[in-house]
Amino acid sequence: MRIRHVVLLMISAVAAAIVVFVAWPGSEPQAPVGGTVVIRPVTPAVSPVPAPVPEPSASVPPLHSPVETAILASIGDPRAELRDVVTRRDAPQITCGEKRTARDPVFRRFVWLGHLKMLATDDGSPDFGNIAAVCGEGQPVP
Amino acid sequence: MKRLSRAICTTLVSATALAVAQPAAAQSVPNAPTGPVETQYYANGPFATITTRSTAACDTKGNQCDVFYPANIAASTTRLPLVVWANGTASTPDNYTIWLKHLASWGFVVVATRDQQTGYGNTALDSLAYMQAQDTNPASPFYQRIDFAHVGAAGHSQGASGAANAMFHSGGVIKTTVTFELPNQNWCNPADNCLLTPTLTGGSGSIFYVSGTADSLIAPDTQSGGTQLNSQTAYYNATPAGMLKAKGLLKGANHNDITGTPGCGLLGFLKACANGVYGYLGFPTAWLAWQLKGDTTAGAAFKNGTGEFFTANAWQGRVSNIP
Repeated sequence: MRIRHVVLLMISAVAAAIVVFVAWPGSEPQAPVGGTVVIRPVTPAVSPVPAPVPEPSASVPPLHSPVETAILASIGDPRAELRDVVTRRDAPQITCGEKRTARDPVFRRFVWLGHLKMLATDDGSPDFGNIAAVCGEGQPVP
Repeated sequence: MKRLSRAICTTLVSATALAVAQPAAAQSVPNAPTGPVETQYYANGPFATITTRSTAACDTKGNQCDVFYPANIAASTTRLPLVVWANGTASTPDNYTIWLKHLASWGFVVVATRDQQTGYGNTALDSLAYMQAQDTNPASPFYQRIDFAHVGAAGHSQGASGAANAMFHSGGVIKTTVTFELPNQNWCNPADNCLLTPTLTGGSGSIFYVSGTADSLIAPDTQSGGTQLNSQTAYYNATPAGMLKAKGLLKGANHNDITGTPGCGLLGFLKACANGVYGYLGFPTAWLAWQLKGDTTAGAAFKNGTGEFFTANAWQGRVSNIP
């Protein structure tokens, strides 16, 4: 009986020593000492919801080509918009597309004569069709 | 007096302007004159000219004005008629010096704002007010020199709209207008920056519509239909019958011929200029001489159907209601 107690005590002591060894504070990260630099690995945060993609600020104007800039300048309306803008490759002074303005918010066809800085807008008349014919590649330039 | 005059205006090119360049020999350029009235006014007039620029803004947009006038204005025994000029889009009087000096050589004082967006006509009216102020300023070379009972307007492209608008909004001060290449209303940009139909149909005065046959894209003679004023003929027809009116197109002339010399440079097609200003010198000057200086012989040239204008070789699309 006495021997059995001694053996159990020895086993307990060994087990306790193992536990103490494993749980010893020296194996944990140490608090940085002043003047040292600690580099920690960065782990991306896992989020169940995708982070929103920031949109461009409304105050940042969209980029325009030089000809678009010239057209918009001639319109003189900061809210004017252009779309489908095409410059004739064989007559680069002629650009066509659609525009809308604050006063006329419907997109309407336009013809721009860059060499004259003149802009024609589709008024629904057959005459604008005659003007717009100049937008076609190869068409004579008056 | 000289020092005071300098305080008002800075003479820019007076030395060179004293020798007025004559147009090219009549037969050496396209659209040469054929009849006596056109030939007379095709040539420069008898006066050497001076060009000055206001030292300060002459309009409410802050632009200076150029003034073209006869060099002997101080010695003139009579007041001189005034022509208010309006530039085309993005242009200044520098683009029209041959035409503007030509008018001055015939005894007109021409005031031209340097505004490049003249369609509303407001800056042209400002330049008229500037000359009215000069006429009352003893320090000005124009002191008591302007005949404000005989004021006309003229302009090119957007400025043609501006000149007409200036007349119709002048309260009767501006008596007549010559429009060069008055654009279709398609080209109004913004939409009201042009000669609007109600303004024209409710107006008074007299008007001479001048365009070129090669300017079919911007200021054509006829249109396909509709109620918009998209042609010189439509503008002419919409002009009240009570106004004296005429219309004609210079053969082969494009939108910017009034700005140029023959050929208009190697890249003339990029400037919409074919033959240069010369064909425009005769009848438009004759119209102003008739309306503002009382030259009845010049006026007879526009008599409907039988006047010299109707047989001139260089012109087509002619119509008038001049009795």
